[in-house]
Amino acid sequence: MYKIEYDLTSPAVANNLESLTAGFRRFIPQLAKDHLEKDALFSELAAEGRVWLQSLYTAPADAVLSSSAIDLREVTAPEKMADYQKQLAAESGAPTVINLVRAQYYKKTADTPALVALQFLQAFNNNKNGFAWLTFTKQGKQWKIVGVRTEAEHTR
Amino acid sequence: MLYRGITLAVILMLTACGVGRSHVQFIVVDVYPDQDSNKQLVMDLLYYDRGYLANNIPALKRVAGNGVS
Repeated sequence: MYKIEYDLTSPAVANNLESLTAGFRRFIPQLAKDHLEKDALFSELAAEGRVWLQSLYTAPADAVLSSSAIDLREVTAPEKMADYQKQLAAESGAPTVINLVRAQYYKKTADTPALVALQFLQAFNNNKNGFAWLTFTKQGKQWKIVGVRTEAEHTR
Repeated sequence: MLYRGITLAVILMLTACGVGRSHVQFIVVDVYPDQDSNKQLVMDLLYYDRGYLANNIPALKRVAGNGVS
């Protein structure tokens, strides 16, 4: 059950309660539908994401960037990517397991292109786990990685 | 896919609780025959970015998301 709690001590919320509840009532089923329709895409991109995350530990920065979206290449110099890769390698080494935790599909808006966000749980040899987030954007007909974020690992 | 062929049935329910200080709305997501899968789907939906919800729910944008959780 999707639960929404409204704080009625906030005048803005109290004054807009009817339109807020109507808005959620309309949008959440739509969101559920959109999300389910992207199930196959999520699986496909999860496989690509796993390969890309592995490549962070095995491939040179140029190769990692050339397999990513133009937008990521434009803001990330190869040296910066190489530094990030070195930092990851020093922290934990390559993950032994990469599992998809959850996915989101964001439709295109006036300000942003369509995006897919995937969260992975990575397991490392040093008995630690850590989350990694990847964002994909569409480049032509292909989905390409435009963002990566990794969390400091924690002991299993 | 598991969900293919299953009608997307979303039952809506509105409940009030508390003593007038808060209002709670429940939206029942009933897509799968088993409740664990429905629960998983709801969890997935809860992780969507609030900015995206606000873009799609004009009233949420108006209140800037404050007081809604």
